[in-house]
Amino acid sequence: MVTEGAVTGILERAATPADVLPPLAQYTPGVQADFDRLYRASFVRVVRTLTGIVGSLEAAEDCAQEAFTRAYRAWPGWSGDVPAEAWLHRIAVNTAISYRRREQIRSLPSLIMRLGIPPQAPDPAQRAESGTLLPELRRLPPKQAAAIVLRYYHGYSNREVAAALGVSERTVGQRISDALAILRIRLGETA
Amino acid sequence: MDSSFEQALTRRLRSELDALHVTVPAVPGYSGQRSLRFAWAVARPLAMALAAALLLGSVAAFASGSPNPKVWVTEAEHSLGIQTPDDENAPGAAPSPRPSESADPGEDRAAPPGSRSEPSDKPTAEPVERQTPEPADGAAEADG
Repeated sequence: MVTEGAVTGILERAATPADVLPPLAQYTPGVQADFDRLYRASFVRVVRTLTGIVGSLEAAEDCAQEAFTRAYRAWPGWSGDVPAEAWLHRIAVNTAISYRRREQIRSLPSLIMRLGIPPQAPDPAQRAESGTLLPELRRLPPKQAAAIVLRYYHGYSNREVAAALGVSERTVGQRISDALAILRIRLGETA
Repeated sequence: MDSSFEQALTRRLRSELDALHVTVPAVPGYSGQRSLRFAWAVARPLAMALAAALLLGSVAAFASGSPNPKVWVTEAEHSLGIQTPDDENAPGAAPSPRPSESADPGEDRAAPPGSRSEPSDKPTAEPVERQTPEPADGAAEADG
């Protein structure tokens, strides 16, 4: 499923001038210094990806710290068949999905209390401050939000998103298609 | 899918996410894991040695029926047939009652009650008995 072309493509696209990733060969599994370099190189990108999934910067930073802690534990077992940042993104996205699930469980009592009461319209001031796209992404299922962020923010192809998330290209295409249909309705044609 | 919508989505997404002010923490969250791992690397051999000692001690206490380590040593010496310097210095001294109570039941059955020094004499007595029949056989042949 993960081909060399996908791996190379991820690395090429990830190498933006702001945070250039070192080549795949420069990371050695289990080496402390290499993980520190990976942390410094990819922390900002991971936080931005997670912000698109969880909806707030504070929560995204918490999830990123948790994701890096998980990745640090798994670092000796990183096989290298997927680029380090894609591997890291997979851990981060799974962490964000777990966060969203916990958040849903926490909000269940208040949801039950609000049954029958019409939902409040979003505060226009807050909407203007945070932009309109991120709250809409947060309303999407987390797996769809992750696919949208990786596809349209990082610029990955469907194959590369599949490599990063560990699913098939067909699944990625379906998630992106469903998410775009929802966003078109909610955002209108202006996006 | 409408490509203009996707292009607008890309622009919006990049502008909103790039506008976020994200700083890399100087102390990463996983650094606590690092110190924890170091502590575990140091403590693991000690923990394993302690666990092995506890396991051996509990087995010995269960087998000997006594929590006293001196009793374990005495039991082990008796069951292995090792003579301690104390036994050699005092051959006539009666052994303490505790080892004889929990000694190997096979030895207790072989030894007659009340004569605890006999098991050590038996191996020396048997070869003497085997040597005596040889002249007797010769005498029988001479007779025949």
